[in-house]
Amino acid sequence: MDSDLLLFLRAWTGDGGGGRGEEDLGRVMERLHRDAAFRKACVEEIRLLSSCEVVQRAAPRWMALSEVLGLGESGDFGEDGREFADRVMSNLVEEEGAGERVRKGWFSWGQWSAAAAGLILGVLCTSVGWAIASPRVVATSTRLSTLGDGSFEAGAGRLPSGFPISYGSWSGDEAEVVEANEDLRRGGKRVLCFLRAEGDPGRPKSSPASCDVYQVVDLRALPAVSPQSDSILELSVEFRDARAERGEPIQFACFLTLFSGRPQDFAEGWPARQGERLVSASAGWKSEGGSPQVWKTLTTRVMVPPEADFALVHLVANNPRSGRVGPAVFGQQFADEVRLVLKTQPVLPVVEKPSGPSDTARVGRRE
Amino acid sequence: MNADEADISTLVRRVVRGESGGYLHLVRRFELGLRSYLACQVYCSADVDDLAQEVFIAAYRDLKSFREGEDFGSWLRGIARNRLLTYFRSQRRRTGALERFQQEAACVLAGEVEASFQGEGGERMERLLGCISKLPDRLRRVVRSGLREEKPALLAEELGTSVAAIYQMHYRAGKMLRECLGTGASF
Repeated sequence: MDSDLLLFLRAWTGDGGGGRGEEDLGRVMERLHRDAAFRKACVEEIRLLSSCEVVQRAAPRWMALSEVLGLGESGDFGEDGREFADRVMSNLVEEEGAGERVRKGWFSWGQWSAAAAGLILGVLCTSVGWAIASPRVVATSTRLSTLGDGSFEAGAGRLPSGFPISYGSWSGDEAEVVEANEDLRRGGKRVLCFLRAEGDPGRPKSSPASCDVYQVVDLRALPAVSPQSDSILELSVEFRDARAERGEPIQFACFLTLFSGRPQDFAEGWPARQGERLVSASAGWKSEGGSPQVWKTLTTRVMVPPEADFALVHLVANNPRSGRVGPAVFGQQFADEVRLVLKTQPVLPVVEKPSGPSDTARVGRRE
Repeated sequence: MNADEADISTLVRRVVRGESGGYLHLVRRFELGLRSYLACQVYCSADVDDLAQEVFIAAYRDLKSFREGEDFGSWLRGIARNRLLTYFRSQRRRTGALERFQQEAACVLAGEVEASFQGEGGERMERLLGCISKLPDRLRRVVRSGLREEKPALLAEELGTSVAAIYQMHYRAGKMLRECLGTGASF
């Protein structure tokens, strides 16, 4: 590496060390002016550096832009929350599978695809793993037991109203857990039924279009991850539109958003505080009902930053047309089998030596 | 006009007609490239995001002037260049030698930076993430960390090496990333 290029990069990135004086900087600047090859090398490095930074960083909140566009004052520009459901979700579900292709935060399909070969099947409430490359680096898949009642089998009845303030329980807009008939059953006897859209406290809307159901999941006791691995949280949800006849398009979506802090604090400021997310991802599906009626699985993933304290699992049924004339009413839209799985992504490539599950015990949460 | 340009033009027409939600598509499509462009010339990452937002707002307000078939990314960068000039002027009075160096370097390199972005689609940025994940562990950690402010020093301490070595590692990682992207010498 050219020593002047190193000096340039250290100055460019604001590195306070390196012993550069005005004289050094002057020499590098003089070379920048006269040496085209040096300029090209500098541009290549700062382009790579900036691209790596930007692509790994969450997108800004775009609050001012949201206001200019008339998309709400809280900066929820379109990645999660009610504003998404009302205005942006149509964009998400217009394209088949778009929810998984749209980049959210600093995670993308490309990264997942690269890791997928090394990952293994999820196992209920257990972890398994095997060594690759190094005996300390293992691929694991762990279903999080801190997600409460993902199959909605704990009991029938209306969900509590509002944003959840405690871990492991469902709440939100009007929705209830119902006994399912044979045809509707997915895994167990009960499913979640979306009933009616509601506005947000402090930001009443005359015509809410989406029915939102939330759960906050404690991540503080996550199975730990080696510094040599990345951890990926994968949310999967099954949705069903049980209307026998075709009708207005209903949009379903699931969101997975990670925060640092306490959910109680976010409940007070929701949805305005959703902009404080560390990272988020979503998947969407649009249905017009009719046959064949099937359960549709939506899956989305985020990489888990070390500072994440809790995950917000957010399920949505949205009827934008109905929402224009009054609160959207549902009743034949269901969700079931919500799963949250933690996967570790080992350093790629290649499996060198299979090993026993006991290696998993070596994995420790990143500090 | 290719399919991509036609798609952009359709979106622009929708927004100009009043469907402001359509602008979200454009923002999503071009934000990575625009922020990367700005980050090439502005040291502070918070300023990069603020400037990107200003550019998107200015572009939205002036969307009628966008000509069908034109490169939307290039059009955005044109707006960004004007914003950058204003930004640099506002910074000039309160900067030291290092900041003056950064600003002058940005001006000197502006033409090459712009040329390097010509015709580049956002998909390459997306592919970059996959390439980063394939780097050897130590290099991946350097790239993940970045080189801004005190990060090289912290990482050097963590990895038991020098700050200069961290920059060298980033340089090596850059070569591997370019190979992964199949772009040869130019990123």
